[in-house]
Amino acid sequence: MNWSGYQMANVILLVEDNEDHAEMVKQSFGDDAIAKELHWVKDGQEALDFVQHKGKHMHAPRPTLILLDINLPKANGLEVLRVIKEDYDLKVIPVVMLTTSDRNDEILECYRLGVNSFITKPVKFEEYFDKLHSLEHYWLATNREPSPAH
Amino acid sequence: MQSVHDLNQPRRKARIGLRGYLFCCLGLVAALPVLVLGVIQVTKWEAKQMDDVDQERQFVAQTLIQGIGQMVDGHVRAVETLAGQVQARGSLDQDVLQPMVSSLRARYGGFSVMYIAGADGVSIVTDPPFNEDGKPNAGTDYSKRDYYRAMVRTGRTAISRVQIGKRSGVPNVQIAAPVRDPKGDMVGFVEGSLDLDGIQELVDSTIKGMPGLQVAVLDHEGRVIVYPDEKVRKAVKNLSHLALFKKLGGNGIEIRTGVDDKGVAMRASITTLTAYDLDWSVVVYRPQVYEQSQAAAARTQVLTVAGLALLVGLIIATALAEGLARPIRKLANVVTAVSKGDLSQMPEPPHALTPREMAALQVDVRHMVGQLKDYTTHMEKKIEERTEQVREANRELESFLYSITHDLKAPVISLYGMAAMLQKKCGEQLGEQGAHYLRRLMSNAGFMEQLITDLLNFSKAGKHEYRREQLDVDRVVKKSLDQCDSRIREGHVTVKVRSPLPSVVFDHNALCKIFLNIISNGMKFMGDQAHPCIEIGGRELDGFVEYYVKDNGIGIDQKYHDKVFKMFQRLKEVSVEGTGIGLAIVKKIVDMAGGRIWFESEVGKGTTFFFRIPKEVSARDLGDGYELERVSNG
Repeated sequence: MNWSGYQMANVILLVEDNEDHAEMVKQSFGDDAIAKELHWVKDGQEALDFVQHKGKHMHAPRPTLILLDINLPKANGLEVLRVIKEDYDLKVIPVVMLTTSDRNDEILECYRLGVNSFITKPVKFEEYFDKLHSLEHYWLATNREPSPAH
Repeated sequence: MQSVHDLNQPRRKARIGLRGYLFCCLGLVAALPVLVLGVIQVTKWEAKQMDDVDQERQFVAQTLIQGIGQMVDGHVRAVETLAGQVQARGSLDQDVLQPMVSSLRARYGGFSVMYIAGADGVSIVTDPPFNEDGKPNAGTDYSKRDYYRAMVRTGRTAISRVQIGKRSGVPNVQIAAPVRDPKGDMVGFVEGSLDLDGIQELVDSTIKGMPGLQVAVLDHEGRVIVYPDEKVRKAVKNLSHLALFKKLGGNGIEIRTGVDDKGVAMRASITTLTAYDLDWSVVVYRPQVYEQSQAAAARTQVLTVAGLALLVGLIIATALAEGLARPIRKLANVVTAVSKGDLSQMPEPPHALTPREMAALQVDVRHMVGQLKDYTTHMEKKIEERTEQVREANRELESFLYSITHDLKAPVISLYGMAAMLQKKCGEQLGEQGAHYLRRLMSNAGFMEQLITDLLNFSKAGKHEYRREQLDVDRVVKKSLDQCDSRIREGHVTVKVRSPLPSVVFDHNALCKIFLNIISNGMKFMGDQAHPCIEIGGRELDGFVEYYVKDNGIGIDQKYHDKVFKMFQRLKEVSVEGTGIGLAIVKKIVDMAGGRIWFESEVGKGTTFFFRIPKEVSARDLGDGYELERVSNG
């Protein structure tokens, strides 16, 4: 799904099964100065299809940032993360975990699999907004990422 | 019945041990007969000893009587033999008689002179034939001699009185035996002079090796034949005036005391030689002093032997007492150890010499200890199993609590987020009433978030990965105080820290959380105290450290005391913020570290929370955290 409707340099893939949370992410990514294209998939399998250009995502753009939940249907976030980070081509894409969990064992596991950042969703929307806002600014405006390899 | 308290009292040390008792008993048993026998022996000894020496002397005297008798007898027979030979020849011819007398004297030693004489008493032949001056001995008239007269008178062999040999100076006796013709008339006689120094030799050889023993042989007149003093002997002195040497009235043996010729007190045995009417006295005697000293020496010997026997008896008693007491003592040591919970001790198995009852006891105690050990092992295993089950159930519960709070979090996030977005996007269209509802909605969502966070913290108190490190507790307390610095300032609370606080090996965050929760709790219940104050201190105990946090707030009513550490328990009397989980988290951390938390409180005066934790928490006590880490590692 493409909210912005036009092709931009920054392609963000949001993997989130909770519609409300997805809506909150969309609302939080509000800085119009940063050009972006937000794609939303609802389960782990679809996320993998998206990055691997399979099925209906045959022509999906390559994401520049992936926001990944852990508790997902079909394939959970950790599996998706493992596939991405084990793929020579895909592993360069920054993956940020965005989840309600703050379990240390899950955080550790994610970092072992090569996650680039781990964010626990705050309950208060103000904090939620602030966190995603700084995330947006860091990964899309501050951080320098490699150009897609060919 | 003895109470447990009495049983636990330390045993008094000042008791006599079994070995002591056994030693006393056995020692007494060993010593008593020795002592009794010793005393009896010592009192009887002198008499017994005197009796012994008397008997010894009597024996010697009788032996001598026999020996002297045989000696005299032998020589009498020699003289009679010669007389018989002469009689058989029937001739008193000098040439016939000379070889006979010479050969007989040569055959029998002891005769100084031997001669054959006619009935008139004049010698016909002698041996030796000549005296030292070269004059012939024959032709001497002996008719005046006492033995000649006695022989003529009785018609039988006669023995003279003792006299001193003129030339030899040796006491001697003459033995004369008649020679008869076929009709029975005396035609002559044979005489032999017997030297009595042979008797002295006999006496000397008899008493040889009998120290102190002396012998005197006296003739019927009391003149000495044998005497220790040679001078007296040579002089053939008459000692009949001395009571010691007085002739015996009749036959038999008499024991008497008296002085010898030198005035030394003697004890003597006297007997008489009656053969051939000799009537000689044999006196065997010893100095009384000597015999008494012998007796005294013997008494000393008896006492020494008795003493040695006593000593040996006591040594044996000691060894026996030790031998008997040792297995009992060892058994007692084992039982003591077992009573203190040390089951590693086991009584020795009985050996071949162990008494039956002792062996049975040893076997029974071994059996008992074995059973106790088995039972303890069984129980420990069972407890371990149960503990593991409880741990597992706890883990499941923790896990359940954790996931449930997690699952609750997602809808709360949505609720709060949606409400916030509604306020942001459509706030103006809601109106005052709508805005109020929305605020209540968000406030409740906020409270719910707080509840969930606290629940998660409580749950994590069991899952947190503890790091054990040596902590500077003053710094930990300062960090905790920093975290509630704003509230301290707002409430104008005076904080006193009794530095230095004892250090401890613990997890930094966990200890910080304990202090923070107790301090926060204290500040929450300060009430309207004019001078709110919180004091923090601590001390070291045996293997533990104990800290306290004291406030002068409203205190806790007795009826709420059992609810203080329970989850979600908030004291209804006061309206304060919070979810009521803080102290439950503290208790959980302290409990898991093997410690204890409690408080003392009085309404209106304040509350003091104490908690005590081991000075070094072992990894096992913080086990759950480590296990979680191990699982996630795999």
